[in-house]
Amino acid sequence: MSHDPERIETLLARHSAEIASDDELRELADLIAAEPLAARRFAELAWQEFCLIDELQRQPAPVAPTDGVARHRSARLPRTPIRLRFPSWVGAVLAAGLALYLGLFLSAPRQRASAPPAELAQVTEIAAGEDNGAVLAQISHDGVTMPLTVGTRLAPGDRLEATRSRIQLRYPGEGTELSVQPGSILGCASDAVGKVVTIERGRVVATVAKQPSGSTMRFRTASAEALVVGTRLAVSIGTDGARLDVQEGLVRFRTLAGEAATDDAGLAVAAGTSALLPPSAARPQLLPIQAMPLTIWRAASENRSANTSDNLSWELIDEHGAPAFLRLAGQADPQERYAWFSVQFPAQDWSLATGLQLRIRGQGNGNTWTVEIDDGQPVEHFVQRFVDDQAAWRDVYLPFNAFVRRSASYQHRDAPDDGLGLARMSGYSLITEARASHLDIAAAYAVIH
Amino acid sequence: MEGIRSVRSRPFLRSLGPRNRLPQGTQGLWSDVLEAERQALRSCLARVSTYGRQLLTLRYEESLPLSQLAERVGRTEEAVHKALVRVRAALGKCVDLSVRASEGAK
Repeated sequence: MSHDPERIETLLARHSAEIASDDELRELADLIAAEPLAARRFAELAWQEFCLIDELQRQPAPVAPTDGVARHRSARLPRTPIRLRFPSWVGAVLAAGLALYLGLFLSAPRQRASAPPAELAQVTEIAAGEDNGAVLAQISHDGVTMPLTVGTRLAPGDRLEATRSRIQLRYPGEGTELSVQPGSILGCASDAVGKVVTIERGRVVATVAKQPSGSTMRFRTASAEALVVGTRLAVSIGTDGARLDVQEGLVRFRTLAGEAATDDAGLAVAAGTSALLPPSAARPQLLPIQAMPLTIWRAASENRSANTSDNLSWELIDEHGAPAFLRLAGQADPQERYAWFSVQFPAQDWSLATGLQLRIRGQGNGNTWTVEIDDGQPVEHFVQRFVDDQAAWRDVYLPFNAFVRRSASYQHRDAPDDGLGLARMSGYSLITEARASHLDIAAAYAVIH
Repeated sequence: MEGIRSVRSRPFLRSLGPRNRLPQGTQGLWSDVLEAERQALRSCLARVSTYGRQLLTLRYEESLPLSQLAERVGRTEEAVHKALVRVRAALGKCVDLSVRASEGAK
């Protein structure tokens, strides 16, 4: 049978203050006999009381002299033991409960309720701040605040504030590390699903070791949740919303309705990819893969990382207040069999993604576009086609398992023939054989569907 | 009546003390825990408000019952009771944080 913890606390408080009625004392005794929580709390409070009495009476506070000689209050005032009204059988039950609890305490002194669960983080570093003597970081729990020190083990309900310094946290027994940036506030907890890091403010950069089977580490903001099995990532809160940057592995990113996750499975964010949940948005949205469209397109003329055939022009449309996009347009002359646009970037690992997604606006003219992706080194080319059948913005999803290897005449002479690996992807191209071509592209990213 | 009095009395609590009841080899561990809690309690008591400290002193140093305590500070029994509960809860959390910090630093 389970009882209300609030009722237990009330009874204990009234017992401690010696204002409990006989009925309340009996109820408390029954609870202590039946409820481990009640027995534990009773013993904790009794222990605290003992320590308080011992401490306050051992170091008596000096009192003002009344006869010209300073005396101690303890020497002046008679001490009367605290008397309690209890039937003897109640006392026996309470004594048994206390002895039982203390027995457990003594047999496993490091497993006490005050000790944090082993899986919670420990402070390993507090970087030196600029202002000597200022509080660099602090920890609070239910309104009690103290300066944070290296070595502190966090417990559920703790609130950590990196006021002026970066804090490094490590989860004992595994390699998971959190770097809490200055100005950040967070809390740590764990539940049946796994570890939870709640970020109230600022930015946390994490390296998450592979979590135990069936366990998922979650990073939460007020509106979003990032679910991690093992990866390197950063979660931050800015004016544009909650942002997730994934450097390694795969993270599921979803909205929160209050404290709870929605039924939505969320967005799978793969390595090299970022996602943003803008304020008041219903779902997070993927941002382009790092080094893909926008930066590449802007820098293309300087570093030649993006290019087009001579018969296809490209223009970056970046009007204030509207999402930027790339406009491809061309008129292939009769001698040209096709026109193409190509982007190259340092190798990225797309192995956890299931396909390539393009955000495009066509003209609904029925033209066929070929998407080519570049795998490995030497590069091996794979292609898949889609039809421009809508004159509106839309997402075109191209599953990787539907890409086919281009014929040998289009491959590098040293290209392997070992299938689409996805671990070292280095570019993509859009190719059209139509005489008149026009396509707007807002983003391209690797995703999981 | 005698039973519960003995539970709450210092001699009884002291008798549960480690030095008398602990198995061989665990006394040192108990001493460490005890000392850490004492140190933490000492530093946390220094953080208690003047009013909170006054209540604790009257209750646990001078062993005043709640009615006399309320009379001494000029408040109702109910107000004093609630204040004492709050102070002890805050003390407990402060001690917990301090002990964890000192354990982690070792």
